[in-house]
Amino acid sequence: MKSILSLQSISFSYNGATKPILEDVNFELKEGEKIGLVGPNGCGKTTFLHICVGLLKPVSGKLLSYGRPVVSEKDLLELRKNVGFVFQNPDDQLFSPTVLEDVAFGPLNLGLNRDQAEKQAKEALELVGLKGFEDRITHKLSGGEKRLVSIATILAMKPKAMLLDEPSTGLDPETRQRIIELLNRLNIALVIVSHDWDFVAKIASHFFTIENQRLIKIEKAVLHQHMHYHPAGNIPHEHL
Amino acid sequence: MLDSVFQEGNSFIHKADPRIKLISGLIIAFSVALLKSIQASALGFFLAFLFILVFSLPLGNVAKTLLFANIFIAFLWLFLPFSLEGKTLFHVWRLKLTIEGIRFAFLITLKCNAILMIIITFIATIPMPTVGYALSSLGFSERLTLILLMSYRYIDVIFEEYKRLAQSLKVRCFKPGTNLHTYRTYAYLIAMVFARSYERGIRVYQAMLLRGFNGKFYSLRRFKLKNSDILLFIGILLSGACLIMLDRGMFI
Repeated sequence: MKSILSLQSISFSYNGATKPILEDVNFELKEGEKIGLVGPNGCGKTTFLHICVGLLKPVSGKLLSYGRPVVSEKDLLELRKNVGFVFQNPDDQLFSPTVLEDVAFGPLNLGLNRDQAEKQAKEALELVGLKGFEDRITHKLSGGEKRLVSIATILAMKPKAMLLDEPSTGLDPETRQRIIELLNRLNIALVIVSHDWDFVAKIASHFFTIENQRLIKIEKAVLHQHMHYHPAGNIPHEHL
Repeated sequence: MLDSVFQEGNSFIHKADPRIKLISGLIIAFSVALLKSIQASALGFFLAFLFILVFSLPLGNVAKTLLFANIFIAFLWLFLPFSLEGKTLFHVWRLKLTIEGIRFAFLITLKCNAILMIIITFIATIPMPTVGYALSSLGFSERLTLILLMSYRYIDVIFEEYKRLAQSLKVRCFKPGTNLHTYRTYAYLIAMVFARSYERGIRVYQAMLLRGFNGKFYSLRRFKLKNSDILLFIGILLSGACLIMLDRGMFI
């Protein structure tokens, strides 16, 4: 399997900050892989995602896309075409007045003509189960609908991978279940960042966390019959 | 917040091509603005009122909108009749009330109300997003169109943010008064709204970048020109010309 994205010994700190956010991070995302990144607030999960799509430039280390280093603006565009990003707050993502316009925004930017863009947008809406929402006004949708539309805006670009920042926050149980089913149905690679272990565990097959600025692989919950998240869950232990 | 009641409806004007409506509205509004005689302005006023009636726009809401604007015009009536030289009707203390002054104030009132009714008919009946797309398909600057659409989209979001902050003041028993604490709190509140909308702006822009945005804005919207739209345009063009010709005394 080809690796869509790989990070090689990446370190990052914000301008002027002495303490790094991430240190010597190595990561690889292969085609079709579903990865969960769990961890407490402020541990650098979002920063990690922003580096993956080139929104933040690492202080040191290399970002590769399909084995080629991402350097120029053109590489970035290519990377962003392959790797979609769903923001934590759908209001940041949905800026067009109508749903269809917003979902077609990405495909139009990729240079598709109106008919193709409209077709891909409609397919994406159908995929997330929002057929018939085309002419709805984006800011008047419910929170769950907004989340689904923001996922559709990325799927319409037909990416190879999709990164999701806290996709389960503020959802009612039904929409949450809907999103779990949707993400399981997709056959693209996924990176799901969350502190909601239950949510991630239902989708991902590999798990990571960030501890002391480093990305650490957590072994899958095979040791647990029931899954929950707590520190050192990868060490064999018993629950009373 | 920005959606007006006039958008709802199913009349001829609601179905007309928004580009034609924008241009027609502009032409007829400018024609009325150029008028100098009371007679032509009155005709313009009746024409505009006719639009409202013919396209069955809600009269109550039209009246409300006009009333609001006429509050400002009322101030003109306080000063204008006294400030123009001409035939004096009577004196109030040391001020002269002149016929010319009254005539001028009346002219402004007529034209102002006429233009407002024209804008209600031709522009307020277009949903705001469509105004943006229509402008962009007329070759209006991409950037300005984008600013218009984004303001429309985010003004609600920012207002919601403001409301949340205001509520958090309320639940902590904030009572505005005439003191430094109140001023400071309001300053913080406004600053926080600005800071948050700035940060939101950054995130929205990042989200756009990640979807391949490169400064150019493409739209799915396609407008189709119907025969009735062309007729509307010609009709408006002729009425505008007639008004101006009447005003300049070309019929007499």
